[in-house]
Amino acid sequence: MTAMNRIQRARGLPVRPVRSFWQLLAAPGWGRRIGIVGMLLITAAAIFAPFLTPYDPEALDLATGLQAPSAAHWFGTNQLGQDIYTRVLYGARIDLLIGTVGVSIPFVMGIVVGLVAGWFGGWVDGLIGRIVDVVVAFPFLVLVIAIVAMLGPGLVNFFIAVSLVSWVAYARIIRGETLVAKNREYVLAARALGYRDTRIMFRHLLPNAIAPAVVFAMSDFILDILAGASLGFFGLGVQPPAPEWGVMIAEGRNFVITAPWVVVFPGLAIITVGLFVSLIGDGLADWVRRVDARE
Amino acid sequence: MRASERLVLERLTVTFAKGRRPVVRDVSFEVEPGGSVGLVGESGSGKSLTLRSVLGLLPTGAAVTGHIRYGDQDLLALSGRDMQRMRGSRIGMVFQDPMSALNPILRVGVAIEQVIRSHETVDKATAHRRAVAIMERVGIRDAEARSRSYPHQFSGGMRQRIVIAMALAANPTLLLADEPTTALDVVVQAAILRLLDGLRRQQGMSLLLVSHDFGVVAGVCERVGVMYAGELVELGNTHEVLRAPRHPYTRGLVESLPQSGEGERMRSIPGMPPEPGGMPDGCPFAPRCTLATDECRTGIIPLLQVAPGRWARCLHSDLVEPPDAVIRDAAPAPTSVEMARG
Amino acid sequence: MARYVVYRLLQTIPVLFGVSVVVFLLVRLIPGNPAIAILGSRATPELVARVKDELGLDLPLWQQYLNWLGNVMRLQFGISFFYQSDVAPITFGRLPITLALLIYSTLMALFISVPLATIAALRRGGFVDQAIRLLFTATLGIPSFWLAIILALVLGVQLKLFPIAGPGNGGLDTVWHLTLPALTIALSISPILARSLRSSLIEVLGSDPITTGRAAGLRRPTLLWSYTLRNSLLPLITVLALNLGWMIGGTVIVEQVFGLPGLGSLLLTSISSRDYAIIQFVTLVFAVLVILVNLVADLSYAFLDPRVSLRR
Repeated sequence: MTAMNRIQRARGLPVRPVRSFWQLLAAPGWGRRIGIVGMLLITAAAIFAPFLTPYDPEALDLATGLQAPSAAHWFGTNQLGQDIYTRVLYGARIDLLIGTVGVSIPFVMGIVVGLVAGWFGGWVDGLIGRIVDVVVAFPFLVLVIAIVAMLGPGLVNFFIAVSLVSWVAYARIIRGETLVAKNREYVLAARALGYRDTRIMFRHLLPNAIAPAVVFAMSDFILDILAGASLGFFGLGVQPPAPEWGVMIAEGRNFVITAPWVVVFPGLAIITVGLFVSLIGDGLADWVRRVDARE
Repeated sequence: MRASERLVLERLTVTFAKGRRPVVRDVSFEVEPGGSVGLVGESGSGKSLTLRSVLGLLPTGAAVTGHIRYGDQDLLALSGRDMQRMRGSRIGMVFQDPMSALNPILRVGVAIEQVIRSHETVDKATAHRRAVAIMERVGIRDAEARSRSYPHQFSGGMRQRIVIAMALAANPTLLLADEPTTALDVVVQAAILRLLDGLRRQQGMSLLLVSHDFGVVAGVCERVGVMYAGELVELGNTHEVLRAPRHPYTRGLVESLPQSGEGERMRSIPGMPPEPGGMPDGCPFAPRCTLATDECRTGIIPLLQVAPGRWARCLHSDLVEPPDAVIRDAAPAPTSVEMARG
Repeated sequence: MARYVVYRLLQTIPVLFGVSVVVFLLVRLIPGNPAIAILGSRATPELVARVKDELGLDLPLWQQYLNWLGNVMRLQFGISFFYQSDVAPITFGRLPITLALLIYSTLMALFISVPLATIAALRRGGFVDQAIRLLFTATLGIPSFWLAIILALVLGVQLKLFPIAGPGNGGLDTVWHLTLPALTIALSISPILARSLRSSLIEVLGSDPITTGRAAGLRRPTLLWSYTLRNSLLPLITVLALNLGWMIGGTVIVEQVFGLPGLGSLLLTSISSRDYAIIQFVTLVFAVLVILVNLVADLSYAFLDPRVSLRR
C-alpha cells in the first residue's frame, strides 16, 4: 500500500483505488475480451507472418498476376503476382507499428503537457490552451499532409507529423482530469506531506487520471492507422513496394473492376483491426464509467 | 369540478435487482378524498419511490408488486397510453428541484398550455387564457406578461409555483408532492406550503406529500406516515404522532427536530440506517433501538393497530415514551402511559 | 448577449494569429535549402539566389514572419510557382466544389445519424440499441478512400446509379455527381456523429424537465419534439462543428478518388508539384474555415438558447 493510502486509512478516509492499466485489461466485459483476443491474434499473425505463409510478400511473379482467390492463393494475387494474403500479413506489421508509435509519442507528450497545464494553472495553462486552440483549428489530416509535404514522404516523417498534431487531445483530457484531481484528498494529503510537485503529479495523480486517456488512445490508434493508410494510398506515407494496407489499396485501384480482391482484402484488414480496437475502447470506457460511478 | 377519490396503496413492494431486499416493502395506507397525508423519512427510506410508483415514474429495472388504486382504477395495471391520460388530468405531481424541472427553451405559458392541450381539445387562445388563470391562482402576479418569460427569468420560489401550475393545469383531483420545498429557502417554503394547503381546501383536492422534514408535514398534512428502510413504521393523525409517537424511530425523529429558542444541542439518533439491499432480518431499526429485544430481530414485524386510526410496526409500541420536545399546538388528554409515569 | 458576441469574436483573433504562425512555419520545415526545394529541377545558382532574395530567406525568422504577415494583410498571399500566378484566385476558384461537398455530406450524415441515434436513445439498453451501437463500433474503422472505391464500384460501375468522376455541369447534374463522394464522407462520419447524438439524447431524456413533462401527462409527440429534440439541437450544432475537421479530411480523400476539382485535390496535386505556396495557402484556408464554422456554432448558442440571448 502506498504511503498515501496508509495515511488515508489511518484517518478513516476513503482509500483512493488506483485504476491501473492492468486492472483495465482484467475486468469483465465480453466486448473488450473479444477485442483483446482479436488484437492478440492479429499481432501474433503479424509477428509470425513468415511461418504462416510460404510466399515472399515482395517477390514478383508476373505469370500469376491478378488471380482470383483460390486454394493456392487465399486472397488472390495482385497485378505483380504477389500473394495478397501474404502481403496483408506482412502489412499488419507496418500498420500495427503505425498505430502503436502514432499513439505512443503523442500520448506521452500530451500527458506531460496536460499535467503541467492543469497542475500549475495560471499563465502556463493559458499559454498551452492557446497553442491547443491553434492546433485544433486545423483539420487533422490536412495538417498531417501539409507537414509531410514539407518534410518529404515516408514513415518517419509521418510519425513526426502525427506527433506534432495528435498530442493536443491527450493534453486536453489529462488537463481536465488534473484540474479535478488537484482538489481531491489524496493530493492534498500528499502536498501536506511535503512531497515535491513532480512526484505528486506523476506518481499519485497520474495513475488515477490516466484512464480516459487510455480509452481515447484506442480510438486514436484507429485514427492513426486510417491516416497512415490514407497517406500510403496517396503515396505520401510508406512507399511501395512495402505491403502497407493503404499502399496495397492504391496499387489495386486500377484493377478494381476486374480484380476487386486486390482492394477488398486490405480494406477488410483495416476494418477488422478497427473493429477489435473499438471493442476494446468501448469496453474500457464502460469500465471506467462504472468505476467512477461507484466512487 | 370533479370530486377527488380515495387513493389506496396496498402492500406496495418495489424491488430493483432480483434477490436484493426491496427498497419499498409492504407499504399500505390510504388517502381519503380531499384528505392530506404526509410521508416522512430519511433519504433512502423509500418515501420518494413510494410516491413515484403511484404514477409509474420509477427508474427502469423496478419490479413492483401490490396494488395501487385511485377510485376504482388499478394504477399498476394501466397501459402506457392510459397512464399518460391519468397523469396530469386526474393525478398531478410536483417535484423537488424547481431550478431544473422546467424546460429551459419553452416560455412558461407555452409549457402550461401544452399540458392543457395534451388532455383536452381546446384551441390555443383558450389554452392560453386558462394557463394565465392557473398562474394567477398559484400566486404569480402579472401572469399575462410573465407567461411569455422563460424559466430562468424566475426565482426559485416562482419556478416552483410554475411547476405547481403545470401539475394543476389539467385539474387533477389528487396532488403528489415529492419534497416540494426542500430546495427552497425557509421563507419561500412557508409560502409554497400555504399555497398547497390553500389549493387543497379550495378545490377539495387530495394531497400526498413526501418530505424528510417533519415540520413541513406537520404544517400541511392531517395524517402522517413514517417510513424507515423501505417500510411504513408508523401511521396516524399528525398531531397524535408528534405528541405521542408509538414507534421508537418516530420518537427519535421528533426529538431531533430543531426547537427554536431552546439553546440546547440538537439531538440525533445514534447509528445509521441500513444500506439499501443489505438489511438484516427482523425490524430494520433494531440495531439502533433502545427497546429492542430478541423477538425484534427475527421474522417480519407486522404493522399493528395501536389505537383507532393509529398503526405502528413495533412489538413494544406501548413502551415508547413521549418525546421531550415541546409541541406547540394544543394537546389532547394525556395517554395512559403518561399517567402511569405520573 | 452583445457582450458575449463581442467576447467570442475577440477570442478568435489570437487563434487566427497562431494559425498564421503555424502556416508560416510550415515552409521552414523543409529540410535543406527551401529555395532549392521550391525550384526543384529548375534550380540554378542564379534562380536560387533570386528566390532566396524574393522570399527573404536570409532574414531572421521573426522578420520573415512580419514580412509575410504584412503581405497577408494586404491580401497578397504569395505566388504559385507552378501556376505562375497569385495563389488566392486559384485557391478560391476551387472553394465552391469543396463547400458544396461539405454541405451535401453534412445533410446526408444528419439524415443517417439522427434517426439512428434517436431510435437507439429511445430504446436504450434494448436489442435495437445494442445492434445500432455495434454497427457504429464496426464501421468506425472503415477507411474512406477504400469506401469511396467500393461505392464507386458497386453503385457507380455495377449498378450504374451514379457517376464516379468529375463535378458535372452545374446544378442538378453536379448534385448527381457529388452524391457518391458525399455519401462516402457521410458514411465515414456517421458513426462518430450518431454516437455523440445518442449520448446527448440520453442525457436530455434523463433530465428533470422530461420527468416533469411526463408527470404532467404530456403526449408523446410533444415530449419528443418540444422537450427532447429541441433541447438536443444545440448539442447537435456543437457536435457538427467539432467534427468539421474530419469531414474536411474526408473531402481531401474523396476529391482525389472521384476527380473533383476542389481544395483537397489542389492540396494533393500541389505536393507532387512542390508548390509550397499553394500548400500553405490551402492549409490556411481550411483552418480559417474551421475557425469560422466554430465561431458561428458558438454564436448560434447565443441566439438559440434563451438563457444566453436574454442576458444583457
